[in-house]
Amino acid sequence: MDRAPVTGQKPVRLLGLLPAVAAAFFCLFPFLSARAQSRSAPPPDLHQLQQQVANLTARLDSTGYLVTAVLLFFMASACLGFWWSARTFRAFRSVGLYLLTVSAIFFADYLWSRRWDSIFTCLASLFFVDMAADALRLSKRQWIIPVRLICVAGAVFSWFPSHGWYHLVPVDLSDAVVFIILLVRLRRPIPQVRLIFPAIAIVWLFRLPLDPTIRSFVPLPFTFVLGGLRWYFGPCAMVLFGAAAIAIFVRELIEDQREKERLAGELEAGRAMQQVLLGAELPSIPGLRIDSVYKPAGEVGGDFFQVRPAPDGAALVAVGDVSGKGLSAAMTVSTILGALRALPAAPPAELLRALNHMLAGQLQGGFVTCCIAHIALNGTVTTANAGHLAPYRNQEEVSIESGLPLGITADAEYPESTFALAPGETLVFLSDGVVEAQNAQGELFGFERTRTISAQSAERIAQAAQAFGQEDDITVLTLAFAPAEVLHA
Amino acid sequence: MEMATTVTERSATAASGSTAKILAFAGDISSASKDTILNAFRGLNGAAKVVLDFTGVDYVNSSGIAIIIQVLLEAAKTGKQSIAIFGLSPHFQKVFTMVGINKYAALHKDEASALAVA
Repeated sequence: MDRAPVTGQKPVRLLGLLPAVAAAFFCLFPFLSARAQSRSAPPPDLHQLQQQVANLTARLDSTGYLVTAVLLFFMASACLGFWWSARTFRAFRSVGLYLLTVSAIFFADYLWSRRWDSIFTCLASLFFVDMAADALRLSKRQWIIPVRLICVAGAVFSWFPSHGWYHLVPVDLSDAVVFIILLVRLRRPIPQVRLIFPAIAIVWLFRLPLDPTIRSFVPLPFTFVLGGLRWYFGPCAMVLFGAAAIAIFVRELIEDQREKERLAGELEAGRAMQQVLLGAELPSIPGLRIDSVYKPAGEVGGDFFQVRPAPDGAALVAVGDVSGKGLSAAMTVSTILGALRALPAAPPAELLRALNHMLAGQLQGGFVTCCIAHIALNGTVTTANAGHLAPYRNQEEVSIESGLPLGITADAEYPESTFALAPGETLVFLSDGVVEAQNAQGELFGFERTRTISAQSAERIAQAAQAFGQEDDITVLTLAFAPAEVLHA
Repeated sequence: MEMATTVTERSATAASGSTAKILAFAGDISSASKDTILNAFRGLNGAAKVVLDFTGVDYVNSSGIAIIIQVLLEAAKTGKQSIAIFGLSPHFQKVFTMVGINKYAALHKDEASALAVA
């Protein structure tokens, strides 16, 4: 199918916009904040000028912050872009949001805004927990709500910088929570833990030198100088972490894609096998010209048919439909075909009873419709029907008795009907994929249209229903009664 | 477009003078309707006369038919409930007959004729 390229183009367009957005942000943010400062500032005196020079020097010193913030911003954009193209990968969203808020922290640091540093730190704590929960595939998440509330409360209180410690609560809380999640996951490991644990360890390891308690014992350095710029350990660790997280989840995405391809391959193999199986159900029988079309709605179908010769020279025909679609229906089809082949030739009603006994209670609320016909050498047709569409002959539906579908109740009874097929006449069996084909307006193909085209070839009937709007598996089986061929043979 | 099933319950007086419970379905009936329909039916607590109104139903797929059959079999098992059906489009009247539902519930043209027999 050609669905992939459509979704594939969106992130490209989105990512293309990002440099422009980023550039606008970098140009405007310092300008706006400088304007805000100049508006509120009283007339300068010498002390203030000294202060401004000191600030400027410090800001030059913190260029490393700016570089890491920009790097993180692009990583965050990449993650959100990946998430845009693969929505089921929620980890990309939470990693993206986490990196985005961390990048915002470093912008705030670069601009010397303690207030915004604290606010973004609280939000980053929130996304840190989200990210760990997503990455480690935790299903039960009720506990995450109070954690989020505390982080948001921390962010709100951080608006008042005089109480500078508010942001420490969410930070410590999120570290503790993530640590517990990791421990819980280590007890029942999933493959991702092996990679995610070191990634998060990087974050912690490089945040340690920043911790005041540890610094009071071991005066670890905050920074190092490289290439004439001062670099801070914390931001550098975050860049490493971002790269590691992206690598881990992109790998996972690729593996997931491979798995999908493998499953698609298996389905394709299943489809090929089903076509072969059903093709094998059409032996050549003297006096009958048999034609069939099988068009599943998906790769594999829940319709089935079988024709086999009976010992008396007659043909036993079974046509049916398993409710539901896809693999489970296809597997039921295989079971039914196997059972039909194993059952000794018997009158149609008896065959249906045997099938029904086998299927009763096995279909989880589903059912199987099936019509079995015994076509004798002289054209006498005996049918028993379990809720399937009645066959057509001479553009008319043949009126036959019907019982409940198979698999619903073990004590269902199947009355038989008999009619005669004249030489040259064709008996047409269909599945409800023909009658219930549906067009865009929701209109059904219906019994009247089906009756009108029922004299055409199997392929033409199936094509007509498919062109109208295929909703379900479509099966058409035609049996032309031509005893003359036997005589001349 | 698939529409969710809704069920509304109302009472009516049958020709025999007794009360009949009417379950009116609306929307499409498919596997998603299972709980809605079974709960509505079981909520009747074994009322003796039940009428199912399909006037508002556009489409019943094979899983939907399985659910209706399940309801009818449950009623048949008690032996004390009689069920009538009306409001089916000609197409589904034929489909219901085909799968043998008419052996467990009488199919009627409209509410009046369903109540006249109930």
